[in-house]
Amino acid sequence: MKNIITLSLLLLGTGTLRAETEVYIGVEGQKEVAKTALALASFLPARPDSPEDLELAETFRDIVRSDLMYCRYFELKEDPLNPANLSSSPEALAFWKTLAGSLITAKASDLGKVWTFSGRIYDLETGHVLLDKYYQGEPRAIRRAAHLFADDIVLRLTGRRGIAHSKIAFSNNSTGSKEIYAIDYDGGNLIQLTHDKSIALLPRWSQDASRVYYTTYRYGNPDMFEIDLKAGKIRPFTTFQGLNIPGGLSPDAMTMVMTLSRGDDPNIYALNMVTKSLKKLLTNFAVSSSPTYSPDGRQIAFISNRSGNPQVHVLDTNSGKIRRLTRLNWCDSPSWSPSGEWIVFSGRETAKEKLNIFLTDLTGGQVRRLTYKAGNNEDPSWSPDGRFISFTSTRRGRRELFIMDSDGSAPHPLTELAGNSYTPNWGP
Amino acid sequence: MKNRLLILAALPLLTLGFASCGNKNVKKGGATDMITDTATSPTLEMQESTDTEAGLRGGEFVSQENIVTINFDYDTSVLSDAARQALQNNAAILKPHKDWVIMVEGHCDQRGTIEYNLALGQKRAKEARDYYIRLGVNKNSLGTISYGKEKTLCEEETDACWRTNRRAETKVKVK
Repeated sequence: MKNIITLSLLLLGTGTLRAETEVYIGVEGQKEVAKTALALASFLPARPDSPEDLELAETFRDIVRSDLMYCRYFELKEDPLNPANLSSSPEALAFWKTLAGSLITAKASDLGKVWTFSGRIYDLETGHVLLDKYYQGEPRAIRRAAHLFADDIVLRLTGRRGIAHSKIAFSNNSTGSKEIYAIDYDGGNLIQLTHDKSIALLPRWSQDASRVYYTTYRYGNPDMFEIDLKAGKIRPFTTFQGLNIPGGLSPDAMTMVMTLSRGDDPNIYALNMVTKSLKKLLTNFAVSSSPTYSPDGRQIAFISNRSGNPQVHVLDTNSGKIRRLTRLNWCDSPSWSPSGEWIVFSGRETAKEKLNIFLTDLTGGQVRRLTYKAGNNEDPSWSPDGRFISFTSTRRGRRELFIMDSDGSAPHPLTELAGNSYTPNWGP
Repeated sequence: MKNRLLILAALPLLTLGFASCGNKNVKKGGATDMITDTATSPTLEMQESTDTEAGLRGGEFVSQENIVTINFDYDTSVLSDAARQALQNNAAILKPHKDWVIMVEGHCDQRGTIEYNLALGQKRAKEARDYYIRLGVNKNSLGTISYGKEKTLCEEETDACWRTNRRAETKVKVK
């Protein structure tokens, strides 16, 4: 009997066979680079005797330091009591050179309605300044400037784009209605974006982070609205009868892939963002939803229940070929990794299990479960550098925003927010 | 929908940039309130519709006595024999009321995910609407909306509660 089962599995092809077995794999790109030593001097008051300048300098340093710790590229070297913190004299640089290859210094000045901040990176080998940045702004922009400086440091020293500038859009019901919010990647700077007093869900960022698209029932139908963050305006973008759910923009930002129903079965459509003309992408695929582009825009992952239960499928936009990746009881919310190698989704293996976060490769042959025994875990979304995944979890009771490493390690709540939070989307 | 319908919502307009709200660092102790200060001025410009179903926006649709809700099995939009019988009874009440606009609401249980449940709820509403049309209900005054799992009736983790939530409700408003 056993032989027959084995044989039938083999006949189904390797894809099926591998999906049925639990193949747990290491996630490429998770290999952490060896940390480089980076000296972080005290940030100084621009006016040495000003307590306001000192306090502001310390505020900046706390944020930059947190960002540099979060990114894990560096082993930070600090020595707050050493006089080397107080200048960039040859003696001071010589001291830091015994600890690290590079040094961060900065000065800040609090002028009331406006502040200034200047930061430098020194190459301690040569004593040269690698980067010299100057920022000024209103008090509300302090966190933004500190995050931008942290990303400048990451880019200059590692060649990689940092994520300290990035924001997460999500829905939260603490006002009594689900509204859209944005929050910094570190849980700071919460902003409420909508006041629809209805049901607002499923935000999706534009490539340049200047717009957020979302679904709202404000006008008695689940329409897609556009939030223009620079202009501070919201407008209906598509108002087709039935579902109007944004899936995400193509890399050239010309096309939005969406779930629409239009009086028929929910289907995947490509919306031209300029002309708003539509192209239906599937035929005979039953209930289909939750589309998302691959990073190169050549493929679209989506959910269809054609085989009976919602499963992850991939559509090749050139050939029109479709392949199914998953064989679980329920799958939804696929999100393509920035490297293009992985699709993260929420799902469960049997009907009565909780929802968990899974990764699959692009063949469906390698499936990895990332969350265990921790309530319902849903709506995963990658950080722009592909090293972290945001999602929602009910492991502490309420539904909250969580972040974990993309191999499932170190899950932690993003911050403490009132109410329940839903459908996070990590911006570029 | 030949003419473009313009609905201007009269909301106070505050033009605010992205970083223009109070610097709310919410990390300090406990759950913070989420009151912040952006505002928007929505302008609703309806699209010319070629959809197979008329949009029936606006107004409040309410339940009617003797018009019953039908339920579905897990992760399916197939109408059971009992559901068909219930829709036949509903249709007999709906058909004489030429003054009614009818909305079928599709709903799902709370176990599923938000996004796919919106699609599944839409399919459930469509199946009920299609059956009503076959029974002779006027399709031009018969709309659908999906709420996915956004309007569950109960929250218990039991088969009975899940079944209660997997439903299509038929509501009406007077023209």
